[in-house]
Amino acid sequence: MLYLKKIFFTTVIALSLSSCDPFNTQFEDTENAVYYESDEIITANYPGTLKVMTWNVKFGGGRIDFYFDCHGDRVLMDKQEVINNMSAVVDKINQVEPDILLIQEVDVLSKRSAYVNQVKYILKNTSLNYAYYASQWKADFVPSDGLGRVDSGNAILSKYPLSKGKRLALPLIGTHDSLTSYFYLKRNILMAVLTLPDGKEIDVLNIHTAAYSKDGTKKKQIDIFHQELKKIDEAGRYFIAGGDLNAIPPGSLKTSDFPDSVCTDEDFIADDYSAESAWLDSLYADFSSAVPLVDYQTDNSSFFTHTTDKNGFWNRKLDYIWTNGSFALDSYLTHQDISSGGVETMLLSDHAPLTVVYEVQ
Amino acid sequence: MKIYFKSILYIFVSFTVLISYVSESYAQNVWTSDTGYVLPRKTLETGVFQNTAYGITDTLEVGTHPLLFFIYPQGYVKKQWFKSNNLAFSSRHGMGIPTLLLNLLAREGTGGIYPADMKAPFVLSHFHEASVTYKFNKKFIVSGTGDLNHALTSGGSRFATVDMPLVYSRTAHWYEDNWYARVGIDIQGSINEWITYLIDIDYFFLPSYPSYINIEHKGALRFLFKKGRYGIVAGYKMVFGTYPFGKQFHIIPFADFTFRFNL
Repeated sequence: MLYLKKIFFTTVIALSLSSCDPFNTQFEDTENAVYYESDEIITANYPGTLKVMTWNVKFGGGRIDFYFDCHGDRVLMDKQEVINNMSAVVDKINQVEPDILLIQEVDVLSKRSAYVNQVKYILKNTSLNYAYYASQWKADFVPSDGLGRVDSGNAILSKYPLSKGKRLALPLIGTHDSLTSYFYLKRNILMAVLTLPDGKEIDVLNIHTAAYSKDGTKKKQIDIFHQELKKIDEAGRYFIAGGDLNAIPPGSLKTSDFPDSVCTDEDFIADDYSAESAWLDSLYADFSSAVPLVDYQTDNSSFFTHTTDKNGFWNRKLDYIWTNGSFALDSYLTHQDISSGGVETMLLSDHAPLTVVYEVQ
Repeated sequence: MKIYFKSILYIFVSFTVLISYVSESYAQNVWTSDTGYVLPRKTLETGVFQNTAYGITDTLEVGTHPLLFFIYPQGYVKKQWFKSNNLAFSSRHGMGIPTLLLNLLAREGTGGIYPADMKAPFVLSHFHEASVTYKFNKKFIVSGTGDLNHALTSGGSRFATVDMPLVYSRTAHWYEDNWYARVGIDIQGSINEWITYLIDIDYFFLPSYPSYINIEHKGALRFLFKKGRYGIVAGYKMVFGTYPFGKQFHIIPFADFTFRFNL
């Protein structure tokens, strides 16, 4: 009996102290990414090139005005709203028919999106077969704004097999108090290896950097992204990398005071890039961009990919695709509207998709 | 500073609601919750987070949460119907109106458990519980408990559930099911004069949700000081439950400070 009591005593103390992360918000520096596979594998006809698409899909929120961009007060969607929005997102993906899709702000188990697993939804409704997912915001319960459970992040989807999916943690914003930091977004780089039908391998990377950092965290995240790409390049491997960098290209004519930025809460103001104009210089200098810098600098507006105002139009470029290989000449397209991409993407998300054709070496 | 204070206040309220689900009333080296026992006459038992209970007579106990009462009017009456040397039987009956609390927790920013654009319905919840306890010896008792919880709701806008362990199983009937039932077994004993322990397991039923399953297990130690007038409770709760997103397992630590007075 005394022995049993000792076991119970030890168990209570151990279990009481063991749950240091009661809301499951934390990540290791490097973790395996979550792997998904379509129920029905569709064999792709490999033409020797790869169409690459990057898109921040705003967790299937379409153009609902949510509280965080200050155009509205919505927090939660019902399932039908999410399915309707995701159906339109999937229609656009199927129109483009990408071989590789880099997707940001995709929810897999969030109350705000009625717990619809959007990675599975895309796999089920497109010809993409394989996916890796890395969470950038995970909590069993966020006690703020009525958000509740959140699991949202980035995913790499492909027609061809993916392996070695890895989540590489990026630095956290340093100005948050510990409580906010515990529940806040944890940015990362999602990495995977794509294997083509001819056996060639390409590293694929997806990133979504901090939107609201004021302490240089976003710069650190971009620099780490650049270092990872350099490592791959120096190892003699090819990569395709992209995502939502929340940064504008060098040579942007407008760098602040965007008309869609209506937030007055300092935590959600993200429209002053005037001190950040050189942050992407090293990426442009070392690698090939889907949209060459000279083309962007000739005409900024044709390449804009973001606005929070559903009644406005794209007014800044935040989304990119890079490679150390080569993209087919003039194969890039920023899918802004019917005249540029064939679909009114303004209705689908607060970001426009960007596509380019990669020439396999 | 004002915003920071408000945030702390809202988190405290939320935490108090949560902890009140796992804290237990206690008397004479026994947690009286989920047992056939009641607090002795003129004994007041309170804590930082737990309900406050008072023994009106040796067979009648009343309880409420005094801090939450103004935003969540609630209370119970517990009557002991039978007691012998080894056996005790009691029933507990209570009600509460969480509407004001729900609307208070529907806010922007930290402490916003519900979205600010939602308005809670009027909810009148009531429960009825029966408990029986068998005392094997002075240091070891076993109790069985069953209860039925029902809610009457009216008005309000579409309101979200709180998909958290401990909370969802006890509040989902406010929105979806209208009633739930619980059965459980408690084992209590003392390790020595100043340390007691509690182990329990509870099973929850939501009748209109056939695949629903919620099992909770608790282990707790109570350290007594000053002849039991002060106590520190520390333990864990394990929850395996069904939520709107699926099934999940949690381990939740908890602690409380308790005080007992003979008035």
